[in-house]
Amino acid sequence: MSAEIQTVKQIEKPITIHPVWYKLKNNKMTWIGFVIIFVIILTSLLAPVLTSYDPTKIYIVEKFQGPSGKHWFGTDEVGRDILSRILYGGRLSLGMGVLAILITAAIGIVLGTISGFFGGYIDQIIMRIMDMILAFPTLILAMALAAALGPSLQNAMLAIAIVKIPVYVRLARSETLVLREKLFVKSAITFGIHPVRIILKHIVPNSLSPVIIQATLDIGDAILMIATLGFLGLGAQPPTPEWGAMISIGWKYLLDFWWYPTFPGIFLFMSSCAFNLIGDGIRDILDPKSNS
Amino acid sequence: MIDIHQVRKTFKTGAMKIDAVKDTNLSIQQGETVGLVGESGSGKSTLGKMLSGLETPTDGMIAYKGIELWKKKKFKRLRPGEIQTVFQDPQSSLDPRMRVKDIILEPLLALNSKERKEKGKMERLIYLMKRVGLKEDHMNRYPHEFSGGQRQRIAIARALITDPQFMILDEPTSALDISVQAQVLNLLKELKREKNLTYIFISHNMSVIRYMCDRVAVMYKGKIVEIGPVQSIFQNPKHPYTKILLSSLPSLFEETKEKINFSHPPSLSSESACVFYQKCPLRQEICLKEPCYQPASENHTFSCHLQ
Ligand SMILES: Nc1ncnc2c1ncn2[C@@H]1O[C@H](COP(=O)(O)OP(=O)(O)O)[C@@H](O)[C@H]1O
Ligand SMILES: [Mg+2]
Repeated sequence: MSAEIQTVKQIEKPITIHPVWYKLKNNKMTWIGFVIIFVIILTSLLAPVLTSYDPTKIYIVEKFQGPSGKHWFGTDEVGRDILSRILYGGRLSLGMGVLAILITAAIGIVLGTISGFFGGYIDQIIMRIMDMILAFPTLILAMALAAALGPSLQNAMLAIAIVKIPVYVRLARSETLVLREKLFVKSAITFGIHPVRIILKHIVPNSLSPVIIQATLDIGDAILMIATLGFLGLGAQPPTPEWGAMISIGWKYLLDFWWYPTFPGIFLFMSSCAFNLIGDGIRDILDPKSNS
Repeated sequence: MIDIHQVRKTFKTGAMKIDAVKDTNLSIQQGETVGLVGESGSGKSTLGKMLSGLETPTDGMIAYKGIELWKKKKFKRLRPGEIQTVFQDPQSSLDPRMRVKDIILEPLLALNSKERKEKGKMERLIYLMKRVGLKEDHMNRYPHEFSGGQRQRIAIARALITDPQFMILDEPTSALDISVQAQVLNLLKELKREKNLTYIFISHNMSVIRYMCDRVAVMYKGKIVEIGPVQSIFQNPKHPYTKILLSSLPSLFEETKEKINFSHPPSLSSESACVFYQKCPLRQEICLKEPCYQPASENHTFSCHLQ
């Protein structure tokens, strides 16, 4: 008996702290992603310290100035400092992107686990609604929703959250279908534990990894979509500094004043890429199948 | 203690209908260990699941202490935690993200807060863990840190935390190494004596059944083809399927293979035939009619024409 009592540590290890750090250390691209996001977040939070320009104050005398020591990224058509607008805009663009995905992932998990666990009519109803959302091209539906809700940054975010829900519902549902057959869930049912408790205790924690991966990959996409809606005038309204809106207006001046749309574009591109790098890295870490 | 009366379970998969359990009758007395034996797919687990609330009987009646468990397709628990199950696969029966402590205490969540407090006391947890052969400091670890045998011990402790009276042991040792198997079987035997438990013990291994059980029911394709005291079944098996399981006559198959004249080919309209007709080395024309149960000795009945 004593031989058996000794814990066997080498048997197939799921995620523990150690291997995660090991894998993370060796994943350079993920680190690059983290660093970029960290820098962008830090600079936008420190915007009041890093720049003395008010992002919304109009100073028409200094309009369309090229990059210089005074205005690193130049000024726009009413003389506002573009660097300052980018930094303050980062708060909105990143913040709204992250928030949209948090909302959509949370709703998706709730609906997906309920759908998968209970099946039957509830499942049918939820999944048919998701099919309806999926029937439209994502961006077009987001535009329609944003337009219907009225153009504002919050509504743009809400529209994006809605159009992205089906991905999370499907993900959580398919995980739930697998977990529902696991004996630890069956056991919990035989104990007489309330289904909601089973979902919260067993289903949600065990289906979280793929949702987290999907969410990190989607943040970049959501930031782009918010910018796109902003570009189309369906997002942040002037004079709010938001990357998409800045590109939208600056676009017209690209040939004469290249810096105007270019710098916000670079920030948008970099943060979207960075979130994708992080997402890929997290996938490698959390997904046992991608062990290399 | 348990009365199973004319219970049937039909699974529909697409156009296919499978009777996993057919018109089964079985009663289990307080303090008994009743074995369910039969090859894989014979409906043993399904029968067990209908006792624990995981599968709804299509037809028939199941009573626990005289009270029906299933009413209008809803499972009624007399008292949560009174019937507990230990499953075969200790790999999947423990949540990988929960600590051993929380796993063992989990069934208490179905109890009222007074009972939960009382039964969830630390001393009781530690006592129970030691009783099943775990150490106190195992309680903060995760399942993957344990071997198969230890995980099964955790599952047993979890089942015992509510002080059950009746336990469904669904192949509790089939996934374990032989040496570990014996330890776990002994533990289950000791626990039964100590706590005056009643077991239904599912297995496909005849020697395990012989070691553990007072009575045994042999199942084939959803039907109990023979049932009786372990002694009687092992010494005097009546049904050809039981004999094959016991391999008391290993030559039975070989010898009779030639003797069978297949003048009674596997008929497609075998609805009314004996369940074992297709595989029976002794089949005859009469076997196309379903046999009744007949007594072999006291408490020992079987379902075959050819005796
Ligand atoms: N959920 C299910 N859906 C469809 N068929 C099932 C289901 N569960 C069991 N069965 C079928 O019922 C029969 C009995 O299965 P089971 O009770 O697991 O047998 P055993 O435990 O004796 O191996 C098998 O033929 C199996 O395929
Ligand atoms: Mg089984």
